[in-house]
Amino acid sequence: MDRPAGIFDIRYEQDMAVIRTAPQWVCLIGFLILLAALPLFADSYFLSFMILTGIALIAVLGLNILTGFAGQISIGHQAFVAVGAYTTAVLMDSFHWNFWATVPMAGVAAAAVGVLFGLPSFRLKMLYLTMSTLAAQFIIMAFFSHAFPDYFRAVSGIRVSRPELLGIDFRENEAFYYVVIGITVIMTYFSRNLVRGRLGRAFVAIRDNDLAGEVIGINVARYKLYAFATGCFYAGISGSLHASYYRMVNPPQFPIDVSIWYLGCLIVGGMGTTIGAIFGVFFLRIIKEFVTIISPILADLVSPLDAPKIGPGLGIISWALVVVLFLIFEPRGLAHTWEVLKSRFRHWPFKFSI
Amino acid sequence: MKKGIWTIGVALAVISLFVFPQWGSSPTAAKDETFTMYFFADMSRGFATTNVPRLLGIQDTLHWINKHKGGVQGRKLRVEWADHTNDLSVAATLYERWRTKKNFIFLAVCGSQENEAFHDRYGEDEVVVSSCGVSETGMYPAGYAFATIPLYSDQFANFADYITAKWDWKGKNRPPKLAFMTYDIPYGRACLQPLVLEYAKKKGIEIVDTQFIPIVIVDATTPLTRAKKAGADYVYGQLTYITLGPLLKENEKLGYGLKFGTNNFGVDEPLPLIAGKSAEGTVFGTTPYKLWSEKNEPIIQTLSKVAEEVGRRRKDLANGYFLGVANVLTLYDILNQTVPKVGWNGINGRVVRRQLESWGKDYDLHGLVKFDYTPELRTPMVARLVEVKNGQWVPATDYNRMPGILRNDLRGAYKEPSTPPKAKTVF
Repeated sequence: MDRPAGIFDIRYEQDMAVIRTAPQWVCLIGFLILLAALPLFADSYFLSFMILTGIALIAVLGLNILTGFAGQISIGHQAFVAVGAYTTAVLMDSFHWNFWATVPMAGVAAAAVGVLFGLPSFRLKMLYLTMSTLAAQFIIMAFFSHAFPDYFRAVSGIRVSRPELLGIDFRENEAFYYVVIGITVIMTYFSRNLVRGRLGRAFVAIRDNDLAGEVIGINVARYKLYAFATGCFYAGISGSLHASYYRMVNPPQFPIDVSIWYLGCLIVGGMGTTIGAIFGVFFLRIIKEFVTIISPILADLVSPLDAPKIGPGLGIISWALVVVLFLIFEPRGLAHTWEVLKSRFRHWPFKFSI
Repeated sequence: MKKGIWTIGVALAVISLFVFPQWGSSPTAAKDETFTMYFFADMSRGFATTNVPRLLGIQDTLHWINKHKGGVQGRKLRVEWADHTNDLSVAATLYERWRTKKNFIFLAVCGSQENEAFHDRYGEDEVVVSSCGVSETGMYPAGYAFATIPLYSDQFANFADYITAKWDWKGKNRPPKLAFMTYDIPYGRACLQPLVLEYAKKKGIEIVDTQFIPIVIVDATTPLTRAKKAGADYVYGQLTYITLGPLLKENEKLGYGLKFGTNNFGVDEPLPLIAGKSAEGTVFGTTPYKLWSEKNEPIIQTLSKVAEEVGRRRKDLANGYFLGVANVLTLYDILNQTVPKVGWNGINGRVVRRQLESWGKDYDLHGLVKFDYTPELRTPMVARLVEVKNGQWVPATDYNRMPGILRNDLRGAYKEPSTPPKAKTVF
């Protein structure tokens, strides 16, 4: 990776550090202050956008660990989000747990279910493993739809209340924003760090060549399960926040479309990088929002009375189009574009590094 | 390549010149003379067949009111709509985007999912919602959501009453046997709630089978054969015409003679077109609305004229169309009743909700449908069973009062908050 001129690492810690330069520290601290101050000047709409993006980002970071780092393709990730959501909902509704206690439990429950559905990865790879994760999506959702109706209440859904802490009511977006963004920042930090440690390097080795990984002493089966557990833990945390944000949990909230959308975020953002997951989620969520604004206007321009027949569908078309265009023109995603931009900036006024 | 990118860029910039002025100036231009209703729903996925006609119904009725009645109380009505693609996260940000607007008082939705998720928020924000997603937890406890169709449990009860009344108990010497055939989603399973099953048992109906089928049914033979082998006389499901069509045709082809029951979403104009003769006398559905076949009804004559004026085809006038008309007529009546009392500046969600609650039992909405809106009730309680005859839907029974099947913990009147109403402005 390129480095600004004059930066020399003389210790391994410096070489491995995430934040390497003073300007990077300034940018990071400035960004965190901006995040913290956002509710002071942003309206409820923008905060809800940030909350939902944060919830989705946690899930996509988990998928990035599983698919981007460890190479285990999953198209059933939303089902693990559902496990987290149902864990929080059932613990709060039936067992009267405090929301804060249910959040880690949601992660643990999703990780446990993830390990269970990760077992086929011992023998399956690529398309075949994808099929088994697809099965996970259907099996898990069928479970919540039919099993233990007294607890899961698939027909009427489970009502969940937003949390309270020290007299602060988190029903308003201004307060709940801090819960979601706080957890998202912590999860992003762990995700970024993971890949630089023993666990993350083992994941990457398995992804790049599992046979070679095994030869150098990595227990491939065990590490694949670690990848499922970690990725699904993230999904569980995301599910817990999802349940609390919507204050209601029922099976249609966790369709397979969203699992595929998560994968699309990774493709657009750049698989195998944490910054890619962040870019992907933000970019595709902005597109979703933009389409809901623009489609009625475009349809009205064509024919106001026939607008309902013309406008809808633009959302689906635009999402699919973006993913296809990225696969063709920028398969390494927005993360790569970001690196190129940074590199250009550092070498300016020269076009290439010397 | 660079030239191509520039060309695309310039093209987009030119398009934006046309698009963004309208986006930015539309509300300003309309200032002082409009009242905006909001509508969001899934219009591009599973429920598009209901919601696109519904928005057509909304637009056509607005067009009729604005053009032929001069608007309401001196102001034109308009709709701001969006497609949430059945994605709850999009629905949530749409709701938040509109929530920040001062004139966000009246919202039309169709989807149990969003009603359930936002039920409490409607009350907190004092936004009156006119909805056709009638899951019990979406509508109750009584709050700011008001339904335009009866509860699904009541619709089943209406069918159960009919078949037990018609059943030849002495001649057959056994109870009527019923198989449930419905979708494996909460909407589909709404007819399998314990209270519904209890009602069927109380009426003496024997439930012989329960099956889940997909919306687009490729193999209709297997579920029908299973129901027939279980001894079913009747099949009931929360089905749409997309599923009912193949089932009815296969039922006729196999000669099983099963009779079908469905809710208001199965009572749809395309069904007689798709199923043809196989639908004649074999499918019964509950609806609180008048039918397009009732050409002597003044409201049907008016709506037919409006539809003709804007160039609608028969397939545009599907089930959802009336639901959209009902949303607008509800708003029209409410504004006509409240504005003379409190003025435009006094209109807010709380005033609108109280006025709706004052409608009481059997409020006649321009002859199209009757609503029961009281402090305790949020759904129409009067509906009838209809069937297909001569290629169109016709009444099979008179209007009946629904039994009101609802969980006890969801019953009760809306509790008025002690806080002052949220500040709103209709402009």
